[in-house]
Amino acid sequence: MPDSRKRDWFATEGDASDSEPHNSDDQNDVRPQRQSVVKKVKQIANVKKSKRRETVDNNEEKEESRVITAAKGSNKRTRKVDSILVSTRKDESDEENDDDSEQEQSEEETDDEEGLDRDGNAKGILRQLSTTELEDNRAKIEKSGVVYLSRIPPYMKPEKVRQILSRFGELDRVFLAPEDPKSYARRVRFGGNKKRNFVEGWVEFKDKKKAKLAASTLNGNIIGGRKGSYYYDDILNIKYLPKFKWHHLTEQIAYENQVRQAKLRAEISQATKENKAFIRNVERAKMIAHIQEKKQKKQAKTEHAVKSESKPVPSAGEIEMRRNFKQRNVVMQKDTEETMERVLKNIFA
Amino acid sequence: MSKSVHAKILSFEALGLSKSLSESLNSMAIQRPSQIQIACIPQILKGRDCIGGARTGSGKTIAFAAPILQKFSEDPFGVFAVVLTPTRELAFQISEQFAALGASMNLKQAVIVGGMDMIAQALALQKRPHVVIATPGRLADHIRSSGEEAIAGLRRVKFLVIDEADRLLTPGFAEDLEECMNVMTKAKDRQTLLFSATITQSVMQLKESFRHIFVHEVPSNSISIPATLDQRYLFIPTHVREAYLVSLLTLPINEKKSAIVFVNRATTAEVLKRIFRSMDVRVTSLHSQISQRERIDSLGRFRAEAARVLVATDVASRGLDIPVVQMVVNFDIPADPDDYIHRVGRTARAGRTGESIAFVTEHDINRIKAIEERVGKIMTKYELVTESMVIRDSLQQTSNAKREALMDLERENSGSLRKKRRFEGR
Repeated sequence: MPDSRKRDWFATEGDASDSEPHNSDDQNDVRPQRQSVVKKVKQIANVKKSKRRETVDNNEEKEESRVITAAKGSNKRTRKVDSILVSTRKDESDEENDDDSEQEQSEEETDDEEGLDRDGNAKGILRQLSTTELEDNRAKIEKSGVVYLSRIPPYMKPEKVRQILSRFGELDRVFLAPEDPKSYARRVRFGGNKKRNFVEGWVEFKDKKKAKLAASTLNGNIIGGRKGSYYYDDILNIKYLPKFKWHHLTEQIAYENQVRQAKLRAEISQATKENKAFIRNVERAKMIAHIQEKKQKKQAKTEHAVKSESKPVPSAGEIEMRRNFKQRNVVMQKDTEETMERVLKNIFA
Repeated sequence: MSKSVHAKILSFEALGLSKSLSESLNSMAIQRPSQIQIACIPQILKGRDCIGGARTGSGKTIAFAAPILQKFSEDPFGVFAVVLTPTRELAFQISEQFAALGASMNLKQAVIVGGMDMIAQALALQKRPHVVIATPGRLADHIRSSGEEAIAGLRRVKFLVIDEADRLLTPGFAEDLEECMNVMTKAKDRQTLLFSATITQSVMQLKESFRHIFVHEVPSNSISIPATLDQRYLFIPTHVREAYLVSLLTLPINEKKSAIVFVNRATTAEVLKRIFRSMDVRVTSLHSQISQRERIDSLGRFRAEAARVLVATDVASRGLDIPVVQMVVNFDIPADPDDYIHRVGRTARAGRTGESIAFVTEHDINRIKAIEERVGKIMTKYELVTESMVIRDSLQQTSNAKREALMDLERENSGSLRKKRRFEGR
């Protein structure tokens, strides 16, 4: 029964999103209203949760989850490639206030949360999952499967990818890597298409069997659909990634971010140390200068009293050499080479 | 040249230049010839080879451009003159000078420098421009690979100018220079002009072997630095240089001044640029590790005073004439004292005032001594930036910004600078 419903939904959605302007309007609406979308996400968090738990049978809910992904998509576009994967978290962090929604975070996401910047943050305290919930989550992750798209047809949006692949089974997360901003800028400068292009992507299926089926069916085949549609003749390159879960994607980036933060902290504390040493030295130099000044005054006084013609002897501190520094070399004259001599000879004759 | 001669010759026409040329010089607000122009222009018009040395900002470009155009107007043809320069920016600047001078005689010129489209340049060369302004590397590349049509014009060249001769006549440029000179006219059929603010011994020795050359020397060492330049130094430890630099350039009296900060490495330039950017100083950078378009853009921004501070390596040290520069900071001390002369020569040009500040670290004592000896002047200490001021205002901020900039750079290039060749733009 769900299958037939899905196909039904697919057909209607397909008609709607085949006309590009509609789709892009949708996008434009979503972007400025991200805040409101996020609120909406909060409101429907319960729905989403149940959606994850059970299979969804409601068309409306599908519609809403589409909005969510669109919001995620707009998030993604504003960030750099490497930080995008984490962006799916963004929505969920907003949900956190909502006690009910916390449950819906899967186990691996909880791990990531802790690994990320919210470590030890009061806001980040999460309710402990019960054993059954944990089991549940683990089973869900176990069951899920990820496919990899080595190329995304030109200007194809995540929604369209979702639409094409959801024919085979329920999808969870979709991530498409946007193209290099430089190449985008170059294209736009030379009057090319202003739409966002994506270079590769990963799609998570709730059921890995469905993922395998999708990969084996679509790989190397044209997308098809309506004969006149924009992507009719485009060939998908899709591979099921065995033993690969979504968290493998996010882990790497979370780890790298963490390492970077730690390194920056260490660097700055090192810099602070150096600065302190400098300040200490400056103060000491002032002190020594002051002492010497006094000494000299005293000396001058006594000398004046005793003998006026004797030269002022430099005090011990003045001539004391504490440390020798290696001096950089001076390059006075560059050596002339054979070719150089020939050039010089030929230059005037 | 004695002072009496200088007093006598008040116009370019008296030097033998045509009326139209002296008028266009006047319209560029150049009324009276400078010393080197008085000396060199008549000799070049007479057809002699020439070595011209004069201090920075004294009008050397006009000293060769004006007589070349004079000769050109008498007998205009295909490639009449080739001007070789060590840096690309300088080539563009000389091209502007030629354009301004030759506007009345419909002068066509081509700038042949690296980092630009080769095919477009080859086509431009085929059209036989009157003046070719080039960097030796790219011109040699054309000679090797662009075919006979492109370089045929070069075979009849009447003038070869080697600007910044002491820099070009070094082993680094030797092979390319030889290649260029091999296709050009034989030396006896062309006039060869060498110009620089600093003339090395090896170039000066040419005078002995070739008697016919006219030589205008820099009278003595001290004169290669303009008298209107105030040279100062700051003696500070290496690792707080950035903080001192920020303090120096954000001093109330320096806040409005245009400044060039010279460094020895492209990476340093990039790091400094990022530090300044995080401090909201309008800054731009010029070095070899950014694309040519960005180089032109950033120099343009600095010229137009859209950026107040230019952080540059030695690509900007020679020849560039930017009148607004009031201050030159030597963040690193150059190994060659001559480079120092060229660097500080970016300010105090054509009689204006200017100041230069050298950051002397514990490792640079020998270098600064060599420079003082070469310049013939002892620098004085710069008193306006004090330790307590640096500690209070910029030390921690700058060091944090520096670490962050270094880490960002490392991440962007993920490895050595050379491997990826380019910094991110912006």
